Formats: sequence, structure tokens, C-alpha cells
Amino acid sequence: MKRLLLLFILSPILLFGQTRQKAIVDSIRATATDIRSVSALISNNPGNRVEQVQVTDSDGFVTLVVRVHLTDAGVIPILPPMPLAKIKTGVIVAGILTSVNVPPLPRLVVEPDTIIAQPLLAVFKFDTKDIPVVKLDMVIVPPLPRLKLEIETTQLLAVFELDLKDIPVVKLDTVVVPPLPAVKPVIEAIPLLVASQLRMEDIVAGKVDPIIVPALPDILLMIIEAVPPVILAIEYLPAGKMDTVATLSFEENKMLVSGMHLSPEGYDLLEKLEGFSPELYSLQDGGLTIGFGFFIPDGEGSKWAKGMTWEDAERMIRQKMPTYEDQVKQYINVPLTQKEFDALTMLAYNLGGFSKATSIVNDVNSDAGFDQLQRDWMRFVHSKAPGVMKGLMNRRRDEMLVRNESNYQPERKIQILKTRK
Amino acid sequence: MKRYLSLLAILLVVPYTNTCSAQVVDSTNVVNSLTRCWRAFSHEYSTIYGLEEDEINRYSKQKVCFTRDSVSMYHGILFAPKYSIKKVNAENYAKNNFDCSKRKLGIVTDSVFEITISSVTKSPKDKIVHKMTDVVAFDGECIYIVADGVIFKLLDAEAKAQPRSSN
Repeated sequence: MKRLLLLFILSPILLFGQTRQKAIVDSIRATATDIRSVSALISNNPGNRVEQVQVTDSDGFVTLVVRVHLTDAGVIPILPPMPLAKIKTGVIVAGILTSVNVPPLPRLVVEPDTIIAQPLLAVFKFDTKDIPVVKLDMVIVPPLPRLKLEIETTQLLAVFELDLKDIPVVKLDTVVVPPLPAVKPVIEAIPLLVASQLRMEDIVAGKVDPIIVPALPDILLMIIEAVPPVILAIEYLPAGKMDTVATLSFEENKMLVSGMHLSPEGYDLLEKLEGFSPELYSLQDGGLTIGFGFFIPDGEGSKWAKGMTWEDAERMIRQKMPTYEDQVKQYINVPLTQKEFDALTMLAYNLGGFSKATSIVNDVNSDAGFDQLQRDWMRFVHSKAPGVMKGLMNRRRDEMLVRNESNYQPERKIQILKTRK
Repeated sequence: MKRYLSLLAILLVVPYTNTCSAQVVDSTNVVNSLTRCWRAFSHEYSTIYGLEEDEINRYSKQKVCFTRDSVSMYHGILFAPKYSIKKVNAENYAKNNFDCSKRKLGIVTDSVFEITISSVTKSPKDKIVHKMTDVVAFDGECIYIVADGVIFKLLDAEAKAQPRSSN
């Protein structure tokens, strides 16, 4: 009967979780033979609440039915909501979990279903839906230790290779040349050595101080005085035959082209080579021609409908000539003699400039030698205008005679190409 | 007053600054565009020219290559090229250099870059370095090289183009 009473009393316990309920019931059963033990069990747990007391009297017994709500409240303190990080495992005890405040967890850290605290006192089950997925916006990286940049000059630490492709090509407008050290005007010899006595082993790298150079004999002037008879002798050569041209044995003075102009003899020869026409005529080369071979583009012929006088043509050829002299100055970068300059200027006048005859320009600049220069020079004898090839051959030959022999007199008169009616 | 003067000074300087930088960019681009190999696919004659037909055929089969350090032209290899680049009216360029229209040369652009190449060569005989000069024109796609009065129109050697014989 007592057992029944106790079971009756303890029936609400069934409302609790089965695990702990079973533990409590077992403990009650163990002590159920003694009503005082049961009473103590109930009263020792201050959280238990007496819900109902029922007293019945029958058969000489008073049956006391006490309905007690067993609770864990006294044993298991309800912790206030705390961030998970602050819950120490020692604080977590078995009990009813009312709430757990879970801070936003990074997705990768969260266990999918359970969080197990060690030692295992409680198992908190979380629904993964309840765990907020927090987007990580910013990660603050602590400042990294600075790299020490120490380059020791005595030790090769790195080799930097520059790729030429990475170097931008920049137009160089100005080059500033630092002032050069002054050259000592006086050269002295200590001791005076004859060139033949110098040995290579005596010459050391460094500053050469004194060498006395004896005055050179004035050979140049003597040779220049001998020029006129040589030129007279050349006049006996058969005119125009290139194979028989002899190279003179003296060297004429060469000058920088920047200050040179076509000589008067050059003008005379050019006028002969071009011929003169007081009227417009056609060479079927895309335009018209007048005066000393002045090219008039199609459509501009009406300006010259009245023709051109000899004086006008002389004036005009001198106006045009600086353009072709400038071509020589632009392309030639070596000093020239007057006859070389004249020949090149006359060639430029005929070709219309040197941009299309760089082979000749480069022959001159590289001192290519007579044979190669003559070969390249004589190539310019083809023309799309019919019937002028022979004329071009003569012209090239006359220019070469000027260059090689200073011969400005190719035994021809100025051809009058047209006669005014 | 000072503020207006400084503003005026800036306004005067800015256009020149822009022009200069544009020129530098143009020059760099032009040189970069040139730096490859080219091959002639057509040619045209100037009023007076100096090449024979067999020479023209030989040149047409030959590549012209520009690198940073050298230029391989029809007449040999040149070194340390330096480029002087001038933007000129295409019609004037054709007329001034070849007495013909730009259309005859096959130029379709309004302007071309006239590029004067200064380079050096070593004479095998005397080891003396000579300065050399060549002139080419570039219209953005093709280059025009004049060799002894014959104008060769060249395309990128790797590009597939139908060769065309002139005249």
C-alpha cells in the first residue's frame, strides 16, 4: 500500500525527462520503505512544490495523499542568458535549458547539430536553422612585422633583369652634355721620344702628359698649287666615258655640308641638263614642265599660261635650289668637297629628294668606295615616261663627271625645248 | 589679380603639355608597331627609279625586320636604330616624294608617319662605324619602303595577304 501511495504521489514525475525521472524514481523506491525518508527526499529539495493535499480516513488508516511537483529548481539554478563564450564548463550542470544566447558564429566553426561541453554534463541540441549565418565582412589583420631592407654592398643579394620590352621608347628631345674638361693647349714631351723608340710595354694606361709633335711640312699647300695643270690634263680625256675616269691623286678640302651651296658652275650645268622651255610641256609624268624643268602639277598649269622668261626661270631655279641643298644637308653626315656637294644637289634636284635614293646617301655616308657609289648612282636611269632613259643615263654620267673630275663642261649647250610661237 | 594671372598661366601651359605627351605616346606606339617582320606584297615606281625587275622580285621575297637593336633592310643589317617620326599629310607625302597621289601608293589614311631611321653599320674592312639613313612611311597597318626609287608596300610578314603585282 505504501508503495502504491508513493507511486501515486510520484506520478507527476513522469512529466519530466525520462532519464532523470528514472533516477529520482529509483532513489525513491530505494527509500520507499521509510515514510521519513520519502518526506526527507521531498523536503530536502526546496524547489519541490506541494500542489495538493488530500486526507482520507478509512479502515483505521488515515491516508494522506500529497501531490508534490518535483522540480529541479533548487538543484539546478537557472542561469541567466549568457554568451556562449562566457559559459564555463564547470558552471554547466544538468537542468532545464531555458535559453542559450548563441553569438553569431562563423559558418565554418559551427558544428552542424550539437555542441558538447566537456565534461559531459549536458547536451544542448541546436537546430541548425537557429544558428545565424553571419557574413564576415571584414577581417582585421594585425600589422605585419616590417621587413628589414638591408642591402650590403659587399654581397650580391639580387640581380634585376630588365626586359627591353618594358622599357618605353621615348623620343629624346634634348641631351645635356656636361662641360668637358679643358684640353691642355700645350703638349710637352718628357723625355723627348722618337716614335720608333716607343715600345708597347712602356705605354701605360693613364694620363699622357707630354709629347712634342714636330711641325709637319706644309705639303698640302704645295699640292694645291699643282692643281691647275692636272685639271687641264683631264680635258683631254674622252668626254663621258666612265670607264676611263682617273681618280686624282690629291685630296680636295672637305667641308661640313651645313654651310655649303650649289656653286655657280653647278647652276650653269644644271640649266644645261634640264634644258629650257618658255612654255608648258608634258613629259607624261603626271604633270607639266616649264622653265628649267620645273614640275607643275596637273591643275596648276593655268598659272603659267603666259609662259616664263629666261630671267624668271633663273630666279626661280635659285628660289627652288635651297630645298634640294637642304636634302643633301639632311641626309649626308660626312664632310664633302664642293664638287661632291654639287653632284649630289643636282641628283636631288632630278630625283625630287633623297628619300627615295637612300642607297646613294648611304654609300656617301659610309665611304663605300668609288665602284659601289658609281653603280648605285647609275641605277637611276629608269623612268615610266617613255623615251627619256637615254637622257637619264647622260645626266647621271654628267653628275658623276662633276663629282669625280670637277668637270662642269660636258660639251653641250642648253637645249631649248620649246620655242614660243 | 595674381590668382587670375596664375590661372591664365596654367591655361596657356596645359595645351602644350597635352600635345607633347600625345606625341610621345604616338612615337612609342609607332616604334612598337614597327617592331616585327614585314614583307612586300606590292610595289609602285617613282618618276625615276633604279631597280631592275629581277631585283624587285628578289626584294619582294625578302623580309624586313625591325628589332630594338637592329633593322634588317634590303641592303643589309643596321644597328642601334634611332627613329625620327613626323606625322605628315598622306597626299602631300605621296606628291612630294613620288609625284603621285596617295591612292596610287595604296594609302587610305589621311596622314602617315614619315619615319627617318638613323642607324650605324660597321664596315668589315676598316671597322669604322658609319651613320646610315633610311626613310619609311607607316599608315598604321602597312609600311612603305623606298628602295632606289621603287616604293614597296609591306604588310606584317605573318599576316596572310594576297600578293599583288604592280602595273
